[in-house]
Amino acid sequence: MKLLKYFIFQLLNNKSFTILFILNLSFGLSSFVTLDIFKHSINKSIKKRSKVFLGADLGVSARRAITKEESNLISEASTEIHSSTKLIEVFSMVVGPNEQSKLVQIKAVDNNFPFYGQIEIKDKNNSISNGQIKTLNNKKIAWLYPELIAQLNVRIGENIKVGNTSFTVQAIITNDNAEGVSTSMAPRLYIGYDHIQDTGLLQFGSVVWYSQLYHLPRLNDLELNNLKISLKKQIPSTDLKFYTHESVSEQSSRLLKYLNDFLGLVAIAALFLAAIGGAFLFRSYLNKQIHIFGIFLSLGMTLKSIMLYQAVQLLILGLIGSSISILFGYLLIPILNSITADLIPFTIIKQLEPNTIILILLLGCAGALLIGLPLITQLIGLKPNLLFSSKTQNNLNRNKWFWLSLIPGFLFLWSLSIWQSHSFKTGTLFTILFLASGLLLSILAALFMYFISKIKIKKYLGLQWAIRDISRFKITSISIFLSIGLGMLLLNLIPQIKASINYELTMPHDSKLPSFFIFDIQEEQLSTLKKISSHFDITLQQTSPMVRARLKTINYQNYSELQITESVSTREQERQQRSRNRGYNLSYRLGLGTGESLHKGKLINSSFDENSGKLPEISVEKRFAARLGIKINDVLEFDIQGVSIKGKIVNIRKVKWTTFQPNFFIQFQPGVLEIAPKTYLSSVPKISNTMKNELQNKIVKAIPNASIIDVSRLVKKLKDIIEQMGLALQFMTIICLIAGFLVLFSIANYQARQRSSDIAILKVLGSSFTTIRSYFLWMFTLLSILSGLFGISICFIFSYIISKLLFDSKWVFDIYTPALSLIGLLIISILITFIAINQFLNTKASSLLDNE
Amino acid sequence: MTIQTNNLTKVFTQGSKKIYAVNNINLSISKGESIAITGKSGSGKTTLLSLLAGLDSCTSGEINILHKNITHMNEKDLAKFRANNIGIIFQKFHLLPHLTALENVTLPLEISNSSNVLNKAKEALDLVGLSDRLGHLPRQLSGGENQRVAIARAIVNKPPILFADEPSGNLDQETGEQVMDLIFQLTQSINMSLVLVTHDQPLAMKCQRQVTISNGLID
Repeated sequence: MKLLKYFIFQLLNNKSFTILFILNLSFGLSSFVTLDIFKHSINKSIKKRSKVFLGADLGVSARRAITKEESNLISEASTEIHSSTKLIEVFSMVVGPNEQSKLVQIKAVDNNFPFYGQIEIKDKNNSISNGQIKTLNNKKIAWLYPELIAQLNVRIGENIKVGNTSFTVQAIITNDNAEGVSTSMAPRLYIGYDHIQDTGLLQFGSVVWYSQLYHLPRLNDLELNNLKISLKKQIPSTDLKFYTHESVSEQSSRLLKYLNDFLGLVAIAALFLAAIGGAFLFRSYLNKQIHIFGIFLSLGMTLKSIMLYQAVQLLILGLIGSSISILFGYLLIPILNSITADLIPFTIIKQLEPNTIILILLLGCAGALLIGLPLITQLIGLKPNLLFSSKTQNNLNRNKWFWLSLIPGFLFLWSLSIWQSHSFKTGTLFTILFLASGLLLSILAALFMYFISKIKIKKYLGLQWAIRDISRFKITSISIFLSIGLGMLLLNLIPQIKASINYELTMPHDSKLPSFFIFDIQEEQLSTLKKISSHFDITLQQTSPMVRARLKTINYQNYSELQITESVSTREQERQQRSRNRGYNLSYRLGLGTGESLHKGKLINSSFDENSGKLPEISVEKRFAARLGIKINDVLEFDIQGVSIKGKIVNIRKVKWTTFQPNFFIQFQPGVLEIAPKTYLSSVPKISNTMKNELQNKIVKAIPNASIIDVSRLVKKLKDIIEQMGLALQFMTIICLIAGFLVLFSIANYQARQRSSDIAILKVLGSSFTTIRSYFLWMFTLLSILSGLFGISICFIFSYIISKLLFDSKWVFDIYTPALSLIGLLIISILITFIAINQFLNTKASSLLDNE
Repeated sequence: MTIQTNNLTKVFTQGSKKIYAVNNINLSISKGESIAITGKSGSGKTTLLSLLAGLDSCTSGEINILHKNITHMNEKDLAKFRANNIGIIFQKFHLLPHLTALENVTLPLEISNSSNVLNKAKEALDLVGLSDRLGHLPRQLSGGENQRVAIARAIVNKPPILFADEPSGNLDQETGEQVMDLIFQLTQSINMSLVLVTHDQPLAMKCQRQVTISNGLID
């Protein structure tokens, strides 16, 4: 390494390459840094608050009351349990003093709640204090989330009706430590545990969660987790859910996890674009250095050493680039924080972890090496006799090593994608789609270059030269096509998909979205509900029975969550685990419902005949079947209130969830579940707002235990979440596009620098400054705009495929974002090219007469 | 007079030191005349050529070409003037590497907005004996061929003045002689004035007049 100094000098002598390469790399990595700091900060903040979110160390919940035996078994499982508290959560309609009703999440808590954190309240005197839970249990009083004050039109001291019972609003909750990262559409209301029975809401089949929370302050996270596992083994009931404070936090931040996964993929795209810029610059740099390599070779240095020193140079550049990127990324954090503020109801303390620094340094060094490796291998075969040739440029030859050395780069991209998305499927799909778009853009670029070379323009000299040279400088053109094209593709893809989903959710024309979604209707209340709706001249839609059941066996084999591995590493495994942990809601119906289509198998078109000697038929939803790994002809056995019911899967259904109609994962053949205890769900078709309020008040008055979801509010909530996530993704995409612009700047700048003698020749031949400038402007602007157009065209294709295949929704053409982004691209491209080339346009024509 | 200079001076400053690259030169060149500017390395001959060709601006003095004072012409007018009146041949050819021989020769015609561009360029290449090399890129041509393309490019507009800076300097003796013969033959046939910068005395002798420069002054 004693000759390293010469190679350091080489870098210092090529300042423009060194600076641009470092800038490209650091900008490409900065989105990674931002995201990693963001993820760590969120995780740390959530972990710090996880006990507060749950209010305890360990918990157990079920959709039924936890039995005394189960309770005793839990208490006996550890001597570390200090105390426990009971909690009931139920979704129900609450009615204000002026008959205004609203769906709320009622939390009935006993005096021990919470073991960690507190509920801060504001009373009628506007004084803020920590709420004393025992006051909730002493009297029939309630604490409300602030938004309920307006929604129920209620004031402190007035009464609200919860189920059959009146509660006095005692205070407004100003800070609920247990709020967590919530996407729940219903605001929260606290009452005493002792009073929940009186409300009459705990009826059979109601959506109620019964929980017991435990205080185990001496156990660490690992011990708590072990206790959770041993409890699951001791009480193997699939409808009983055990969790630690940590798992609750993880569950509650699921949305953020998905968001981070996708942000990670966009960050990879930014790194890839930076790699294109880096590769272009390094290629030009190597070409320029060929004669120096020739000198080294003639002086006795081996080619292997030269190649090794080039790799060391890349490592140095990677190290510097990644160090700068840490600074860039840290500066970008506040923007991402403010964009995601509505999704995270607590302050995030941004913190740069040593792990992030190590990760980024590794990524920077590995990235720089992988960018340069295929180019360094092109030096193989270089001989010192090149010094005797006048052609010391373009000596890089693609050999078999070039193609082989591309493989580590692709593997790196692939593994990064899987790692960032936490999904083999998503990561692989992203890599394939990303590389396919790159390939498609390159093909389009090649076709464009072929056709443009045939065009002859006589009037504008600058444009004429630009059109000719686009096809002559192939590497330049393709690099710009890839960096700008891919950046524009990503920038437009998110709004395009968002437009389709939003259209699907709102469907402005011929809307079939229901106004309400009613659930928890008892069998005997069904006639009352029908009477009320017919009074309003409304026919209820898809009134469906719902039977609560536990899955016992699949194909006669015990289905127990004990078989499930405790450690999950991918999002698919997480989803699989979640779907396996739950009890299920069954329904029965002939044929298909609204928004359903047959995917595989045959329709259920007759009721079950007990004497047929066959098993009852079952229809299963497509994604649910995939998560559970079940298929047609599989036999499922359910436990309904101690009675076993078997059935055979005869079809797999596709369900369009955006219709917001009552749909179920599992539908039985009619004639099986009719006698089982059940509740009903129904939906009310689109009606006017006035009628909606009147109908809601009437239903709540007549059936106080029924819960009503206002679909328009639900849609709004969903749209808000999509908007928030979309904004965060677009922010990351903008960084990605800036990385693309940096590539454009680097290429334009490098081209102008490399071609300063060409500029001088044109000047000698009498070409004006304006013509030469217009030539460069035309060349880079044309390339940018066309690559942008191609990127957007591919985006349309991808968004169409994603809308149809992934979201099963209608594809909507959103013209505004592409139009705006193209105008923006035009302006920015002109500006960037102008800045990049301007200093070189002043090259004096007389410089050609200098002999060196 | 085709070219007329009055007290032409070019001064370079190095720190506090002033270097007179061209010092008070008065020179006249008539139509169709060939003149060789000779001198040692660093004598100022190339600086003088770049001033005469309008590629650089002088510190003081005056240059008149074809009865036009180009001393204070702005960049745009100077470029236009060069396009129509001046052809230059360099020692290192200076062809655009991404353009074919034909395209390189076409360039001056396109810049001066000439008509019948292709035919004129082909004719020029035919004159230098390269009609079979039209589609070749500079890297596919030999040194001598590259210089022929450069000559074709310099004369394609039929400018009244041709400047040549060591045109055979990068070529072997035989090819160099062939190239120089071609330049003399072409300038004579079109009646161009030729200003040739060289340190090759025998070559300079082939010109009608020789001027030797030393320390920026005409000897």
